[in-house]
Amino acid sequence: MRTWILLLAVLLPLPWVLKALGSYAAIASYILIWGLAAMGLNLLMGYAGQVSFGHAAFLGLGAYGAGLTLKHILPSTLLAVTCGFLLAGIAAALLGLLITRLRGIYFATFTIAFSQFFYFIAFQWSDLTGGDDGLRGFARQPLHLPGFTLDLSSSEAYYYFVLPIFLVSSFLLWQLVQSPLGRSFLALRENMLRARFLSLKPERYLWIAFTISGAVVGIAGALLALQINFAQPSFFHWTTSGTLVMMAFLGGRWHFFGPLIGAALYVLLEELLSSYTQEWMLFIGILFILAVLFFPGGVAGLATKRRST
Amino acid sequence: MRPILRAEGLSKAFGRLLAVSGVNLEVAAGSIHAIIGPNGAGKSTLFDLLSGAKRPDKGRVYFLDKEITHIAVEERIRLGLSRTFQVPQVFTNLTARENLIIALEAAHSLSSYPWPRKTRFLEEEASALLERLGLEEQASRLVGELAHGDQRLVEIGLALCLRPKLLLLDEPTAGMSDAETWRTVQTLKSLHREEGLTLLFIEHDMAVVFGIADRVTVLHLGEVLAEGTPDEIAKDEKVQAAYLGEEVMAG
Amino acid sequence: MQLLNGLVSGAFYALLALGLALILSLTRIINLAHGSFLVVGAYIGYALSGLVGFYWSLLLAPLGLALLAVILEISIMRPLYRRDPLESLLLTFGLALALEEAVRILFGPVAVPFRIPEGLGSSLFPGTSLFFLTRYRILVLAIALMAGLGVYLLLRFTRLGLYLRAGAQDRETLNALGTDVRRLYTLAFALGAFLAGLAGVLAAGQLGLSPTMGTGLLMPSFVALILGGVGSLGGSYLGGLLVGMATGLAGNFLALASELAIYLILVLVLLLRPRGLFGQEGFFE
Repeated sequence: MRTWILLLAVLLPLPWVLKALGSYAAIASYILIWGLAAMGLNLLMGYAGQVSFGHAAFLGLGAYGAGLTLKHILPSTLLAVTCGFLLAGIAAALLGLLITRLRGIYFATFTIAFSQFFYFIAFQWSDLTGGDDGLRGFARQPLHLPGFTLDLSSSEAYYYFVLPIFLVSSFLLWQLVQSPLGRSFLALRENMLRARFLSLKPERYLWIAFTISGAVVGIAGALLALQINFAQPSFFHWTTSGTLVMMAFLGGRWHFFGPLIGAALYVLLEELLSSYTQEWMLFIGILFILAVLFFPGGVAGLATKRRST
Repeated sequence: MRPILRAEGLSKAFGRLLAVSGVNLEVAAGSIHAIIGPNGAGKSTLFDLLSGAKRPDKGRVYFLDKEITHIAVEERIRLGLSRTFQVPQVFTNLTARENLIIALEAAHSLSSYPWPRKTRFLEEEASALLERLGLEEQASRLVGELAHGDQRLVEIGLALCLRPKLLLLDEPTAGMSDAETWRTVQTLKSLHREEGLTLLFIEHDMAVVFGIADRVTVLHLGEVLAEGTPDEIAKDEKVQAAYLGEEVMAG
Repeated sequence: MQLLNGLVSGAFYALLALGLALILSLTRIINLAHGSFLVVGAYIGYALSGLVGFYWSLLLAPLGLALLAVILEISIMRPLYRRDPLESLLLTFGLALALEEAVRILFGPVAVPFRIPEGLGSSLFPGTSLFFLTRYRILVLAIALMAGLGVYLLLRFTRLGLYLRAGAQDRETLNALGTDVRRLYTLAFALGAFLAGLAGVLAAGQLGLSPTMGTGLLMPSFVALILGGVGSLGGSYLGGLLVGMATGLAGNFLALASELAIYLILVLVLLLRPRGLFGQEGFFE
């Protein structure tokens, strides 16, 4: 409970804090968006114990789903987010069926493959997706609530649209990991053999974890597209998947909010480094290497040795 | 009294290695049955076949008169089978209590329930079980940090949560001190007595075998060499030769 | 025939897949930086060819890359052998990012043409239906074949190869026998990097150089690894050739089909024969 209040206290004034520090408001949204994506991935990685290098697929599907909804279906922001979420969730459910029997390198390769597969599709199916130029021609629409209309076009206003979605999604995730289902995921991570010998079918629970994590990343993807009113094939690239994994790892994959911390770190670092040098990716890469070598528990792991369950 | 577990002509080969060959086995309900044999006799493989971790090349397995030869592990567990392993298979980074809660949730078919708070009543069951196993002190410690003997007890606790009728134990006292061995054996004896649990176990410690087993099956090079009461086996010349042979080779 | 053309691509995949398999079977590490190895090798070759010409750079660039790989392995990979496999995976990912960016910094982000010696570009059979078989492509095939053969001979007939094969099967036993397994790991990396560098220089001559040339070749190599069967080095090599031919064949019908073919192969293998053609049971469950 305390954590949530603290979180709220930090997140509510975030755009203003950032601006005061010389940055800009949109960064706050990026932190929440990538944080949500990393937390979604971590349901699979930190809790269920399977690493996916393909979750960018769901980020992209969420993004393109939202964009295409706004372009071709209805100019409704809420619908766009919902469609992005559904598209990613259904894809996750279907892909999950294919891969839950796989382990180790087979699993890893397949995840990289489907990430690249969607990248390929986004690139080639240019009639629909805009190809290499990306999906354009849509913008987040004002929110029509009973009684009044909220204009979301400013970064600040959009942040206060993203924030409640983030809070609700992460709260639901929080409930999930405290539940029997969440503990079943832990069983998978800790000892798949024992889980099986307790009548818990690993394939089934992996599929559930995979689907939910994909759907959550999809929400983040939709929010991302609406942040920049643009979607591009690189959202699908396996290196984007890898970045998600790194965020969760950096922040601490054994702790619930670890990935959020990792995402915040990454976003802020990228912002900071890219203002100094064009070669910031080199430093990020080196940072990753150093983090893996010296801080495998992530930032949250530095604070507390105990894994959260 | 029909046997609770029956195996007919079980065979399993790995490449050119015939691990188990034509094994027949009958385990009487309510008994304590030991499987012994020199190293490499195929005992663990036999357990894999009985528990469903592997499928036999030939032969059948019957549990409570139902054929289970090709049934998945998870379903065998639901039918009343349970197993422990040579190296205790537990949830290392969770506490003993958390380990048992997971197993109890599985037993009550709650494992897919996505909201917290539904399973408070399981806390009591878990506490009772911890007490039964003598693990109250260790309840909040990570199982990975426990002594080997305590880890084994947690594992037995996990296996018990699903209310098995037959418990397969693969070398339950392996790597234990005399004190830990005694404690484990006592726990197993009381479980057998109080729950009417049938025990089938692999053991190298002959003191344990002679201490609690009703019947003994001897495996050698994948085949059943002999079967009978502990006394009969002790006197069996073939058995002696098999073990002696192993000592000669080792020496 | 597009099949032969595909075979040339297959040569690249085969070299990469073999390198990946060597590293994987010995160290159990999935080297996500393998594509970057290829890129670095290509650029080293590019830099060297200005000094010593194409043929020498074909030999020296892979050696240089192997040396770099050894340095990296000793410095940053060793600490991770005893740890969670995720960590080595992430490390190779970080390495991939860093290497690719380093190349971009040193040589610029734009594609650079790689000049191959005069005459190699010309066709061996001009005017016939095999006109596309340039001398260069023959060279690629020949070198890939020699490399594959070389590795095979190394593994089969040398003491070193024996240790490598033994290590791939059972590291614990080898360790117990007193062999320094760590040196074998280093060797596996060196060899894998050498093959990647070779593929890099050859690919540069065929496709030109760009910092992103790695990804397009890495994915099919992973699929080749799966197709051949994890745990089988020969299988990975063969898998590479097969993937190349399949993409060549598919490309005959529709330009885009060649990439789709890769995904199709992966799905088919995973559905029908997860162990791959020559994989061992339980190698990577």
